[in-house]
Amino acid sequence: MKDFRKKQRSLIKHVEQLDEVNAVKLAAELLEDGMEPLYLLDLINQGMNRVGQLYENKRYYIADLIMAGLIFKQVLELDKMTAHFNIKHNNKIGSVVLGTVKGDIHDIGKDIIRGMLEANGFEVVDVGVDVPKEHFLKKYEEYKPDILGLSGVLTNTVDTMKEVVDAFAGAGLRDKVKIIVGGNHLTEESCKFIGADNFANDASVGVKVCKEWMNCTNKQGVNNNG
Amino acid sequence: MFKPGIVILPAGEVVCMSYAIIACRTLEDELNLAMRETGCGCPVIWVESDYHLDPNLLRSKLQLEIDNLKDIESVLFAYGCCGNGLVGLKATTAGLIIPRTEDCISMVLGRPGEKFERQKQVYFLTRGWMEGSKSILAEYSHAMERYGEKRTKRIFELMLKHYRYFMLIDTGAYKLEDCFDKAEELAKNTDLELIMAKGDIWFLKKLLTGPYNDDFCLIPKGGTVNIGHFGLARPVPSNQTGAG
Repeated sequence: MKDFRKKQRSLIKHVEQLDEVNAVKLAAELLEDGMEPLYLLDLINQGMNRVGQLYENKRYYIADLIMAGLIFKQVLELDKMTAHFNIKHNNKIGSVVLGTVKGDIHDIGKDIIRGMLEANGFEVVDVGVDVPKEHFLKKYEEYKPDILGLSGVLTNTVDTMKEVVDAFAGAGLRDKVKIIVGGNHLTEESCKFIGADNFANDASVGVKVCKEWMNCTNKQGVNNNG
Repeated sequence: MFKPGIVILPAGEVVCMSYAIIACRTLEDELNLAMRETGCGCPVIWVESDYHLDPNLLRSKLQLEIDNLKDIESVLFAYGCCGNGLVGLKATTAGLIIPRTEDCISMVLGRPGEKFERQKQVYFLTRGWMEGSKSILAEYSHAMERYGEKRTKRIFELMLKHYRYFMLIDTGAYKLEDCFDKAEELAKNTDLELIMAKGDIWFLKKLLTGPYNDDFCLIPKGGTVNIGHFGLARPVPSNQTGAG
């Protein structure tokens, strides 16, 4: 048991220190030892949170965030993890159509939240980057997701996100779907301007919001903000 | 020629004011040239360029600088909307004059009275952008040191996967040859193409001289910058990129 705890601490440390080889190797070992995939994911998340803090403290770089994302992805792709999530396939807690809005090609944040949503039991349809409003509408009609996630880095994506929300309202679909917007530049004020239901400056907040929505009895979208 | 403290309002009225400038280090070369060319001698408070990575931190830092000002009528900002980092600022000690533009890229690449169309697959560079402690060059050096060549290649393939070009902008404010080799090497290492473009400092010069027309957000003392000041409730004249 003592050795097991030591391994858990080591796993968090390997992720924090971005030691790709040892983090993935130890994650596989812990799964072989019988650790629950969701528990393992929680340990990885603890390491990821430390990476996020180190980035905020300016000790880590964007390159380090990407490496953390690579580690996270490789752990999710371990056989025992995919087996676990495949079994759960019919028990998804919700579905999300996710994309970076038109005029923007950034996708680091989008890819991080996609991985975290999937790990938390969401079915995610990633529609890519530079996505026009018409395409979001088309994908909505195709998949009928619970949540629409609009991502963007550029300042003027506030406008483009609003255009997407307005397009959903124009098509009579606004009350059918919850809309979350994500990006470092977003504020409560811009969220209200866009007409989204909520916003997130980082992926973990975004996942929390989506989970809360799915936990609500009435999970259908509303016209109000917040 | 600009005389420090003299401003011509749009109506043609000439007024005397005391100014301070709050400026991002990214624009240091360009602002210094604009100040030389206009004869502006206002005090400048330089803010490190790393703040642009976190708009909330940038807002706090700028507010602190505004709050500390004394006996200043107006603050000139060598900033744009900068990821909404300037939205929410309170004009506690002086009026605020802020270029109505997305950020420093539209500021140096845009043309007066024209809508600026950013090329999507382009990562923009000037000396200011290359020298920041969290610049793309610093990112690359850090990655090489920490992860080695093979992993750095993987990381940068992800970081720049939707980019095709690095664009080195000649703003006329720094020696291009100081940056060209570094930009070319970075482009080569990351499989992007290096292209060049001519920039300009007209917006910064206008910031120093006025007239303060629709190109600027004017926030009177006691007011607050809101999202509408940057024209986000109507078509935006420009757009920009960031590092993420």
